[in-house]
This record gives sequence, C-alpha cells and structure tokens, in this order.
Amino acid sequence: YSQITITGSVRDIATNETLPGVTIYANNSKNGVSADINGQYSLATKAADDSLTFSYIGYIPQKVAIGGRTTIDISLAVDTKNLDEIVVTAYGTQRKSDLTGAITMVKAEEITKVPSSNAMQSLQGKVAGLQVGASSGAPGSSPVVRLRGVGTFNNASVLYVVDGVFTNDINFLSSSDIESLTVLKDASATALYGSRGANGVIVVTTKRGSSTADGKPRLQFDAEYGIQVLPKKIDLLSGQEFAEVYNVIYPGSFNNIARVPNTDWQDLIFRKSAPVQSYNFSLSGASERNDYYFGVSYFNQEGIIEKSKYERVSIKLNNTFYITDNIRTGVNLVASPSRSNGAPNVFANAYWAWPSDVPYNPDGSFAEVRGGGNPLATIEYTNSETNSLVSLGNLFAEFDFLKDFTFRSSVGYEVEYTESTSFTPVFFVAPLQSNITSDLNKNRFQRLNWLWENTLTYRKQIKRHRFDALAGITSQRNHSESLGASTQNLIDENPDLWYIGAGDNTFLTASNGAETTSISSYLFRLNYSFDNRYLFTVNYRRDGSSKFGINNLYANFGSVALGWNITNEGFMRGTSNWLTNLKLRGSYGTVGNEKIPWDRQYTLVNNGENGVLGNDEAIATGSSYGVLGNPDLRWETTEQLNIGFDFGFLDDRLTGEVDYYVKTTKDILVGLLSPGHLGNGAFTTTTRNAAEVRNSGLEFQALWRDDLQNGISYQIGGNFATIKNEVLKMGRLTGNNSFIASGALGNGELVTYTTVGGPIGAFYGFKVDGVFQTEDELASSPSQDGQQVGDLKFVDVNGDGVITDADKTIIGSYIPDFIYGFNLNVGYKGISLGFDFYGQSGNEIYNGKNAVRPNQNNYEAQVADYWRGPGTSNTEPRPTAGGLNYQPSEYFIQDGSYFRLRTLTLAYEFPKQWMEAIKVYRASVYLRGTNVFTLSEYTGYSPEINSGDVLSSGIDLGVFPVTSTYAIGFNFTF
Amino acid sequence: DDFLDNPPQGFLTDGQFPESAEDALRAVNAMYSDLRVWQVYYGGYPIVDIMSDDAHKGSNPGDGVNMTLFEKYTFGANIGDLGAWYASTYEAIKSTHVVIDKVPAIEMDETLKTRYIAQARFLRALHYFQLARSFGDVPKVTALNPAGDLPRSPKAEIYNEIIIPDLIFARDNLPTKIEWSGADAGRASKHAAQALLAKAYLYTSQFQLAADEAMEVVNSTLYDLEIDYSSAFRPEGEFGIESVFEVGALPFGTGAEGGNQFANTQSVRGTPNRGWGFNRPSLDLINSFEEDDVRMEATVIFLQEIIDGVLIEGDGPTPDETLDGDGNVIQIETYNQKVWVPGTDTQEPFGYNVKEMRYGEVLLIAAEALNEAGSPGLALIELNKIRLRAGLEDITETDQSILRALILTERRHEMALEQERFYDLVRTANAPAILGPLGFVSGKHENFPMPSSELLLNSNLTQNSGW
Repeated sequence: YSQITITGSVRDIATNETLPGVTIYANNSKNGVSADINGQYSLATKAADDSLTFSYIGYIPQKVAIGGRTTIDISLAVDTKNLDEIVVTAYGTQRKSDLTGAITMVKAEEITKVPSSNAMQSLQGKVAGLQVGASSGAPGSSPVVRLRGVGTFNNASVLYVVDGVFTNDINFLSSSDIESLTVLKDASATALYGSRGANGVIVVTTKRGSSTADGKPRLQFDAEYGIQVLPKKIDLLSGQEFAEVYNVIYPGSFNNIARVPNTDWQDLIFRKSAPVQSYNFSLSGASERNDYYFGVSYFNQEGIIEKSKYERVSIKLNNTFYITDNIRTGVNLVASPSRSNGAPNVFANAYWAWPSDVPYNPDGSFAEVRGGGNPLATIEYTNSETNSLVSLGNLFAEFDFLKDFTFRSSVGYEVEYTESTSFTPVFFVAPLQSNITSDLNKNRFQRLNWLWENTLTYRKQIKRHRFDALAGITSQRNHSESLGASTQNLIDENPDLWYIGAGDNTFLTASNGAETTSISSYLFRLNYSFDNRYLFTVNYRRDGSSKFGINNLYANFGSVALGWNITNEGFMRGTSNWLTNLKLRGSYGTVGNEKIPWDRQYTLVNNGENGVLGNDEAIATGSSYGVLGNPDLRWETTEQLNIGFDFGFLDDRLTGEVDYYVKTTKDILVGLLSPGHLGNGAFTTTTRNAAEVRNSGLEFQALWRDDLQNGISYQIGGNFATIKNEVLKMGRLTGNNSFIASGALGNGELVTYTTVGGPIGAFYGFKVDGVFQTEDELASSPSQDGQQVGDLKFVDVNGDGVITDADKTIIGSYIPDFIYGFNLNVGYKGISLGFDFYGQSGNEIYNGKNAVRPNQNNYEAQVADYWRGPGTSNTEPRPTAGGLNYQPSEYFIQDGSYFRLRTLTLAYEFPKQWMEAIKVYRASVYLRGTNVFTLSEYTGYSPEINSGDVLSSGIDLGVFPVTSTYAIGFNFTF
Repeated sequence: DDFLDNPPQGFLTDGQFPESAEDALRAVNAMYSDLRVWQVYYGGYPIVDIMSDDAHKGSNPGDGVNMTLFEKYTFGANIGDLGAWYASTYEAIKSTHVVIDKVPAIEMDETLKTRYIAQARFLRALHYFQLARSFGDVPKVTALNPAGDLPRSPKAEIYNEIIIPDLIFARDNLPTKIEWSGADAGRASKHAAQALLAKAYLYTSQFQLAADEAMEVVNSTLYDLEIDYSSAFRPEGEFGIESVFEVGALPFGTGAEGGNQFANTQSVRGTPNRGWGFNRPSLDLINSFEEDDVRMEATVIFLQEIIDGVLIEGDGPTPDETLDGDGNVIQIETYNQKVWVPGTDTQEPFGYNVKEMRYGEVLLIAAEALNEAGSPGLALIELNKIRLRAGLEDITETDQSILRALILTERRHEMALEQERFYDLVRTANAPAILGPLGFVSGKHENFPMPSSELLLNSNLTQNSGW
C-alpha cells in the first residue's frame, strides 16, 4: 500500500467559519492530527481504502471514505442533541460545553408534572442540591426552597429572575407558560446577581413563539382534573382509650368507660376528597418580523377541609418584533389575579380535641369540646378571603452594531395589589370558645418595583479563541405600602356589611407602614474559551444598595472559574468510542445576601414616649430615640468554592455531573445584646454582622437513556446531594456561649438553639434514657425535683449529678444529611410510563403539637402503651397532664426521613396519522398520581414540615396536610 | 448616592429629630416617660426595701421567686433583674442626652431652651444618683453614642462631674414650682433640684452644703407638710403642697397611655384584687413605731382592715402568718398602704404617682445635715415639724451622736417603704449591724454587683469588691 497525504479544511456548516482544533484520524491506520488554527489539516495515511473521522466537541462527528481523494474539505454540524444544549445563565445563554459554573436546567415537560399553583413544587427531587418542601398543604401555598443548605439566619429564599425581573416568589406564574427553570448554584453562576445571589438563583424563562413548518400559529389546549385525598390519618386514642388514660391521671373521671363516645375528629373535619383543576390555552407562532406567545391559564384548588380554596387566572404575553435586521424590541408580560380563602387552622385542634366529647348538642348546636375547643365550630365561624393581582414584565430593545456588539435596554416592573378581609361573627359554643362582639379585619398591600437594565455584549470568535463579554449598568427601586384597619361589633353580620364603616368606632384601630429600597449596580462578565478545551469565566458586580448602612453603601462581588474539556484533547482520541465527554470545572467567588433586617441601620425616633404632666394630669406627647442603629450594617457575604466534573459515556447514553462545594457565609446579621450603658434598654439587641455559617456538600446527577431496537425507549435518572451545615461564629461581643434560642411552641418553651458547632436551628432539649422503672432507679439516678417513677429519665449530660437546664443539648436538626431523587421513564409506541421518586434522610421533626399541653388534650395512639409498672414500657411515660415529661426532650423528636413516589404518570400520545385526519397536530391523554405513597416513620400527616424561618423549621404545630392527588389530563395542539 | 438614600418611611431617624422648638418639647416630655418604666428604680425588681428590715418579699411564696434571692442576700451578679434595671436606667439617661446634645443647636426661645436643658440635667442627675448609690462606680456616659467598651468611673467622679454640676445648673435655671403652671405643673423645678442636690451632698458627706440647700427649700415657703400624713400619698395630695417631685401617671395601660405599674406591683393581692402584693411591711417595722405614731396605720394594711369601704381579705395561697422553726410568728400578711389607691379595679393603681421627693424628706435632710454640721438646735426645729404631724412629742436631744440615731429612726418611720431605708443604713454604716442578721455581708453588699451580662459584653468593666 502506498502512503498518501490528505489535506483539507474544516468548517462549521452553519457559519462557514473554519474550525480549529478538530481531530482527524484515519480509522484503519489510527494516524491522527488536529486541524490548525486556520482549520487546515494534513494527514499522512497508508491505506487508500481507509476512512477518516472528523470529531470536535459540540459537533456531530463525521466519517468520510477517502475514496482515492487527496483533498477532503468538510463542514461539521453542531450537535444539538445534548452537549451543545443552550443553557440559560445569568444575563444570557451559553453552550453547555462552555459552562464553567454549576447550573441545572429543568425543561417545560417536567415543570407541569405536579398539580400545584407553584411551579417550584415540580422541582422536588429533580435538581441535586435543591430542596423543595411544602410549608403547608393549603391551596395556593408556596413551598420552602433551599439551595445548598441554609446560609443565613435571615431570609434564605432563593432569588427568582422571571424574564429578567427579580422577584421573591413565582406563585403568580402558570407552570404551562414556563419554558425552563434554571438553577444557578455556584459563585460562577450567581456572581452576576451580586448582593442578591447568595441563596442561589432560579432563572425562569417563559415560552416564546417559534415558526412552524406550515407557518401557521400553533394553538394548544391542556386540561387537567384531579382529586386530592388525605394520604393518612394520625393514629390517635379512641374515646375509650382516652378515658382510660385520663382516669390514670384523674382517677374516677370516667366511671363507665364502655359508654364513652368515640368521636373521630379527623373524619369530621376532612373532606373525602377535594378537586384540583387547571385549564391552559395558548397561541404562539413566528413570522419573519415577529414572534409571539399568548397564554391564558385557570387554576382552581379546593382544600381538603371546608373554606379553604385558591383560584387563579394567569395571562401571559411574550412578543418580539424584529424591526430591522439589527434592531429588536419586545415585551414579556404576565398578569395574574387570584383569590384565596384562608384555611381555618383546626389541625392541632382536631388532634387535641377529646374523642370522648361529641360535636353537637341534642338540639343541633355546637357542643363544648375539651382539648382546645370544637374544631367544627372553628371552621364554621372562620371567614377569610384574600384577593390579589400580580403583574410582572419587561419591555426591551436590542441593537446589534459593529458586527459583534449588542446593546440591550430593558425596563422591568412588578406590581402587586392584595386585599384581605377576615370576619368573625358573634357566637357562643363554650366560655373559652366564644366571641362577644363581631370582629372585622381589613388589610391592603401594594407594591411597585421597577428595574432598568442596560447591557452591552460582545461576542467574537477569532480562530480558536472565543470571547463572550458583557458589561452593564442597572438600577432598581422597590416600594411597598400596607394599610390595615380593624373594628368590632358590626351593625349586621351580612357579608355586604363587612366594611370598616359598619363597625363601632370605639373599636377602630388602624396601621400603616411603607418601605422603599433601591439598588444600583455595575456588572461585567467575560467568558473566554480556547480551542474548546480551556474555558475561563470571570464575573464582577458592584452593588450600591439602600439596604446597606451609610458607611458601607457599595459592595463588590465576583468570581473566577476555569473549565477543561478533557475529551477535546488530542491524547483522549483513543477513548472517544466510549468516553464522549469529560469536563473538569472549578470556581471560586463571593456573592451577597441583602435580604437582611435593613432598617436596623437607623436609630428610629419612637413616638408614644409620653409624659404625664399638668395640674389635671394629662398626656404630654413625647418622642425619643429607640434602639441605636448600626450604620456599619452591611450585606452578608457568601464565599463559595465549587469543583465539579461533567461526564458522558457511550455516545452520551450516560451523562452526568458531580459537584463538591464549600460555602461559607460571613457577616451574617444577628441581633446581639449590647452593653447596657449604650442605652438601648433591657432585653434589647442591636443588629450586627457577626455570625458565620458553613455549608458543604457533594452533589451527583446522572441520566441513562437509550432506545432499544424493538421500539422501546427508556431513561433512568437520579441525583443525590449531601448537606452539612455548621455555625462557625455567633459574634464576638457575646462570649463563647452566645446562642439564639428560637422555635417557640407557643407555651413558653423554645426548642431550637443555634450556636457555634451545631447546625442552624438545631433542636434542643433533654436526651431521654427510657422511663424510670423503679423507686430505686429514680433514687439512684440524676433527676429533677418532682420526678416520679414512670417519668422520662433524662440524661445527665454534664455529669453533675442533677438534671438542670444545663443538661439540655442538641437532639436533632431539621436539615437532612442527604436528599435524593430518581426517575424512570419507559416509552413504547406512544405509550409512556414514568415514575419520579424523592427522598430525604437524616433530618428530624419536633412533634410540637404533641408537646403542647396547656390543658388536657388527646394523645397519639402509642400513649395507650403507657408505663404502668416496672418493665411495662421504657418508651411511654406514665400519663400526666403537662408537667416534667413535657419539657423539650427527645421524646418529641421523630425521624423525618422519608421516601416518596412523587409522581406516577401513564400517558398515551395518539398516533400522528390519526391526528392529521382530524387536523390535530398532537394529542395526548394521561393519568397521573402525585404523592402516591410516602414511606416515613413520622406519625403526622406528612413528613414535609418546613418553615420559611430558618431558625425554627421542622416543628409540627398542626400543619395543613399535604395531600395525594390523582388526576386525568389532556393536551391538544392544533 | 441620592438614589440610594431611602430612609425608613413613617419614622423619623436620629438625624432628623429634634429640629424645632416643638421637637425639643417632645424630646423633653419623653424623659418623663422613662420614669414610669417598670425596671427603672424600684417599680420592678429589685424593690430594695425587701433587703432592709422594713419589708419582706411579699406576694405568695410561688410568685417572683427571684425576689427571695434579694431578700435573703443570696442573689448573684447573674440575676437578670439587675441587668434589666441597669440597662433601663441608662436608657433613661440616653433620653436626657437627646435633649442635652441636640436641643442647644435648635433656634428657639432661649429661656425655654435653657429650661429644657435644665430639666434634662435634673433627670440625668436623678438617674446617675440611683446608679451611684446602688452600683458605686459606673460607666460615665455624658453624651449620645458612647463607646461600647467604656470602663467604670469612680463613684466620686460621678457625683462631682455629673450629679452635683447638673443639679446646680438645674437649680439655677429651672422655674419654681409655682412658676410652672397649668400643663407644665409637675416638671422638674428649682427646688426639686435643690432638694436632690441637698441629698447628693448628704450622700457625699458635704453637710453644710446639704443643710444650706435644704434650708433654701424650706425658706422658699412654697412647700409644707400635708396636715394628714396619708394625704401625702393619696390622690388628694398629688402635686400638692408636700410634693417636691413626683411622677405623674394615669389609670390606663403602661407606656403611651400613661400608666405606671409601681403600685400595681405592691398593692393588695387576692381580695380585693389590686395587685401582686410585693414589698410586705415587716413585723420589725410595725413594732418599731412609737405607740402614738399615726404613720404606722398609714403605712401598713392589715387583714380585715377596711379602707375606703373596702374590706381587705388578702390572698388565699399567702399564709396569714408565717412561723419560724420554733413556732414564732415571723411574718404576717400585710400590704403597703402608701400605694393604696381608692377605686374598684386593678387598673386604678396604674394611676398612682410615685413621690420621688417629698417635703417631709427635705425636712429630714435638713435636720440630718444641720446635726452633722454642728447645729443640733437648728436640726431639732426641722425634725420636730415631722414629729408634730406624726402625733409625737418633740425631741430635745442635742448630743450629735444620739440625735443622729434618732434622726435615722425618724427617717425610717417617715420614709418607710419609700425605698430609702436600705440606702440610709448603708451610707450611715449601720447596715452590717442591722442587716447582718438578714444576710448582709460587710464589704460586699454595700454595692449591688455589676450585672454579669455587662461584664460579658464589655471586657473593660470591673466587678465590685466582694462579688
């Protein structure tokens, strides 16, 4: 065989620009070269009948037979399938292969899977490191969302950026209007959000119109109807069991236990099922000079108890006008009116209510019920309604000039108007459950935020160098005002008279408050990529914020990141048949949190510091300074290091990402006691940047997908993330023992404790070492005054021989050790079956509703196995009405781990040929279960016990149950 | 940066207040509000009388158990009540500094301005006097926004550089009681400053100066004793002839509504339900009165007594008699009659005016100072005015030392349960002998300890000796 030399050039098929760095190798001889900086190559090979393979990261590889030629020019096409997926980033988009940050994007089809008013609910278990937990099962409630642990004692909510506008919640958006949710995790991804990025950022991109093959608009209609059911009841004592336990405490109270009624309050307050339904309509399309998307959605969810309901209409309009080839302008708007009826809070009440009491008197009126009152009466007399209108959007214009530059100016806004009314009529059930005069409360809240952003981008590829730079100036102002009034003794209880004017003026009270904040920023980003192998990103943002103290008006944030596409190296050529992609990423940077109690920077003048003076003794109005402000107040800074790699095996059938991060938040604002001589008064704190918290964890995400020969396609995906949270500092002025006690149960007990060495909001109380079995054991063990045999045996942690408050210690945490999710989808000829699982492990729940015993209440079922003599029980103490066994302790701690089938979907897409006949582009029908089962040891309705307050989460004081939903739905596209 | 200037809405901030004459008046009025804060002085804890031989903790055994620690002298520096008292007193001092620091720059009537500042300096002196006689050396804060790590200044410096100069300024710049008229009645006056100045001189053993100041109050002829001793404490005596400085209050909620819980804390517990019943007069006090002294009945409420038509039945859980191990009665259920307010509900005691300085005390200051300054004859004139009203015979003793003891006893009876006895025994060095059996330790309990919470927060603070 003769040796031949083949030369040629490699170009991008779309741009016709030359591609440097493309790998060319001969398949038989295994000789290989890379294309030079000008996209030219020259390869010597032995075999005349050999073939060449051209491969390049982000492009579809091509195999070409030589066929005797000595010059082979080739054009490669971008691989749109996977690697060069375009990913939404801060202020822009990027090819996935160019990313240096930790970013996970979730697409539309996943987002509509969970029937909820809030699209974030669908992200539970979908993104490694993102925790989405219900705060309540009430219709219309927003979930608690935490990214990579909890990095502040203040507001830890992620920042949402909807079409470029910053907001704190996306409850107003219909899931059907969302194209993608992109979770920005590390400093490289979030640093462009500066002082607002530290809790993580979720970029919400809404749907746009695109051109269709036939050029006609596309009409889509979706309908879904579901029923919600209570997944489980709490196992409580029956009437007879309760009477027996009660007789132990107060002997002789029930003298004929057989005749004690047995009322199941849960059966009485919960409905058998409650509907949830949604209907979405959209119209979209594009022409040469315009693209448009118009959507209208209606969502309606009723609660599992009477009088709770949420309904919302959401109207979406996205429009872009291509005025000339280099000027575009457009709008992205959403307007969303909603109405909700506040749920009567009777869950703890139904738990406490005596099962031995009946709901109604013989005459049909509500009967007196011990243990917190008659829950049915509470539902009957609760009237609460909130109406809200939220609108958000932006208007933008873009101008391309000098070939590589684009200038964009965008004005965004968010407005909210909310009005709420609650009314309690006059009623009498019992002396402790009555209302002597009717009560009316009215509240109004309005908000107007605007944001003006001007950015300049520069994109340029010079040979193997690719640049993407962004510079911008932005300013934002947020204003809100609330106005509330209440009165009593309305002239009539008719809803037409639920206005303040109908009340008795002597009871009139009013409140009013307002807040304006502003922020002005400069931002800069450079993405640089060399030869698709080496990636470099630098981000910088300078924020001036009115929330910062006058001495620290400006803050600088930034990040540096590096990436290395290892599989694009020449030496990796030999592995390309099994290793499709391997990329190493690393980033470090700082981001801030400005969701802080910012008004503490001011010394406010308090009114109402009145003297009493004069011959006739009268109020002499006075004002003076309140707690000393801290003008040094500043943002909280999070420093984050992220190291990760992306991989793709076997022609990208297996893809995934692994990330490790360490995130340290410094200067956390915390209220600390101040020296008395500063004059702030007794028990008051001043707010200082003093605490420090570290979160660290490992995140893993992988997906296997394949199509089998027989028409079956399947995919299996999974993710898990570990979370370790530790408080490193609490503030120097308070000594080493400083702490924040929180987690109020409402009975005077505080059950969480945040201090150095533990996690934020750790549960705090006595460790329990069984039950005192004998007098001897009681006498020989450390105990408290008044403890008796049969009481909980607390552990003498400090070994001083007595049980005191000093023996309280950390007994749990609401923060899980790890969270995980996985999914399985199988498809065959239009039928698909999908499972999504979610789980978390290692967190605890404080069963607060059980711990609150102001009065004698009903108990959970296990109390029936109470200690009744030596050896009878070492877990359930003797029954008592409150007292020493009800101090904060491990007795009330339960394992909060759970594993859940989040969704189960069976879908059928009708065959194309049928649909064409009836002029339908696409049609499908599905059945879906949500929260189909939950494996958990927790005795409450649901182990999802989350609170927005990071210092006191995971405490169940009677939460609105999270339901299971079974739904049927249709999608039609015309 | 203008864009970033968004001050709180609905609130003024310190940079914007006080700016006008009207603001100045508001800032001045606010200082009087601080006198009704529960933790300031002895409205709340500790009620220092219970540390003296005059009173017990009171209430029922289960309520306010921390106060028992004061009664038995077993409290430590870590007790929260002390920290609250200390911090609240400095909070009141801060209000005076709003006036002292800010009002001078306001363009307004100069006479009025001086009067405002003089009131502030009077009240600052009053607060520092309480701090100095209770804690001894304390941080010397003389303006707004002090350093956080201020060390303590010697007690003498607090007297010489704050209390005495402030009171001299107040004396020289405040109107007299009758010059304050109408809505201004009750403001700090020239003679209130002079009376407090006399007391400060007494505490610093400057007896001639004390006598001079006290006698100027006497010679002003603006004051006299109420004919009926109990009238000095009852509503009819509010801002009356005997009142030198008192704290106005209204029978409504505390704070902005004008109420004061001082009397509520000490009023009859149980039936009638007028309060919590702390600061119970002791048998020792009751037995120490001379037989004809009308002040005993006016000071002590006994069970089954009828006052203003109300039968005093007392509190169920409170034992009517408390016995010691040998079966001797050591306490009986009694209440403080000086805080009794006529009326029918628990809200009424909120309107009780605390008498910060009575003319009765001015006479006793004068008597004591004159005796110490070597004028026992003059001292007896003032002392016997007090005895005359009490229904007692004149004293004629002129031996300085014996008269000194008689005056101290007279103070005990005249000022019983008015929070003076403990301090009187300490400053006259009688505390170890009289209070020793109750737990008082010489060399330690002359001062309250600096609250341990303060020591944690400020490493430059030192603790009092013995603690």
